[in-house]
Amino acid sequence: MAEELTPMDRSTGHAIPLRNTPERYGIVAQTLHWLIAALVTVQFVFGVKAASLPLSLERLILLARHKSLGLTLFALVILRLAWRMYSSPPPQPSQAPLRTAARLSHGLLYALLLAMPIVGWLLSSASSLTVSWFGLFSLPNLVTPDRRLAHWMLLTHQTMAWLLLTVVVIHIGAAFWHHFILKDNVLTRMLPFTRRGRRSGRPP
Amino acid sequence: MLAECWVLVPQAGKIVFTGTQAGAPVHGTFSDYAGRVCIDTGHATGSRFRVSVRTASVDTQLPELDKALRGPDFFNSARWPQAMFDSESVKPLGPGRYQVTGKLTLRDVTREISVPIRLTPAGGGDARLSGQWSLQRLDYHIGLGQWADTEWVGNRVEILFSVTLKPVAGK
Ligand code: HEM
Ligand code: HEM
Repeated sequence: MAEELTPMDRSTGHAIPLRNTPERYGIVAQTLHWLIAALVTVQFVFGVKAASLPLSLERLILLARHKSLGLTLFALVILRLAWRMYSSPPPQPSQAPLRTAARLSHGLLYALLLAMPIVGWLLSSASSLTVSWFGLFSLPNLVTPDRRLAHWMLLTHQTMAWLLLTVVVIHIGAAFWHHFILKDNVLTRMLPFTRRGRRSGRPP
Repeated sequence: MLAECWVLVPQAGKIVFTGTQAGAPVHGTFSDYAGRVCIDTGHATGSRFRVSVRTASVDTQLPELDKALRGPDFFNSARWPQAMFDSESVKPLGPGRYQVTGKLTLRDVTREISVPIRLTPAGGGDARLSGQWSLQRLDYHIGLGQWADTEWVGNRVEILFSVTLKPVAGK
């Protein structure tokens, strides 16, 4: 397949296409994956820290950043899913039960990444706090202030957060398991600057 | 000509304020207020506005925030339970419109302010007093310590009021 080459590819002497190929994730999918992974980490740090604080300026600032970054993340996830529809990811190398596990866990990750910002937005609206995106514009309130709803949305947001953390830990574990035990290319095909993305798609 | 006088009907109407937190508007209301208003268009000295608002009646629909607003860093409702407005200067601006200039006391600060108001009939001899005005909260020491920050908690606060007046015998 004649894919577009980027300068970085030439410098490593190894072609990483913009789009996904049957062998590996392209630059767009990789960038979005790692950017979103970093943002999710920041979301946990800010969210947990904010939740541990009483009403204070520090809590206000942390929550403001948490909301703005969370909305950014939401947009990136939508972009990522759109890109995934446009450029199919490489097929899962594993066989039946593992392949299903991978599909399920990736599906759950996407679902949580989409649901958490909406629940967070609902939580903020129900708490009578309008959400602003980095102070540049305000989002409409999804609901009128409602203490009971705020309580349930907080519980949902928290439950989803811990579910997400669990799936991410399993996900990272699975990535290393593929790399060190199964010795296939599942990890390397999500990494830039590697030649191993070209390795055979099938474990021995 | 005698001044026309009214009292504020409790609960019938609203006093709403809008501040900003992290760039987004945050609204609250005061439900407990009282006052007496006399307007004498014939004399320079017959008019008088006296309105008080119980600051502890603040309601933002966010209990933690209400608690903080009543607390020492904001209104300090325990020490200064009332916000007070007192004016003897009411200048007609047009039909049903006046400019009211007087002293506003919030916490330990008293400042002269001037507020344009509207007076409209509300049926049964009652009247509706409404208007809009804004203040800089730090002028009144609203938000001490960490809350003096104006990047995350805006200094400007909009006040919107629309209250019902019931006529009473002149002063
Ligand atoms: C995928 C994106 C997001 C993740 C992973 C995430 C994660 C978290 C976590 C881990 C907490 C701490 C929960 C706790 O320990 O109690 C939290 C709290 C919170 N999140 Fe999010 N969040 C996300 C998006 C959002 C968005 C977009 C908003 C609002 C627009 C939001 C609003 C909140 C609020 C208001 C809290 C604080 C709850 C409280 O302490 O009262 N979150 N979030
Ligand atoms: C150190 C952390 C992480 C590592 C090592 C890692 C590794 C990987 C690898 C190797 C793949 C490719 C799987 C394949 O080829 O089939 C992948 C895919 C994926 N990762 Fe991660 N990941 C990490 C963090 C995250 C985080 C935090 C999230 C989101 C919360 C995430 C969400 C996803 C999703 C949704 C896919 C599926 C991509 C697709 O649509 O095909 N990952 N990850």
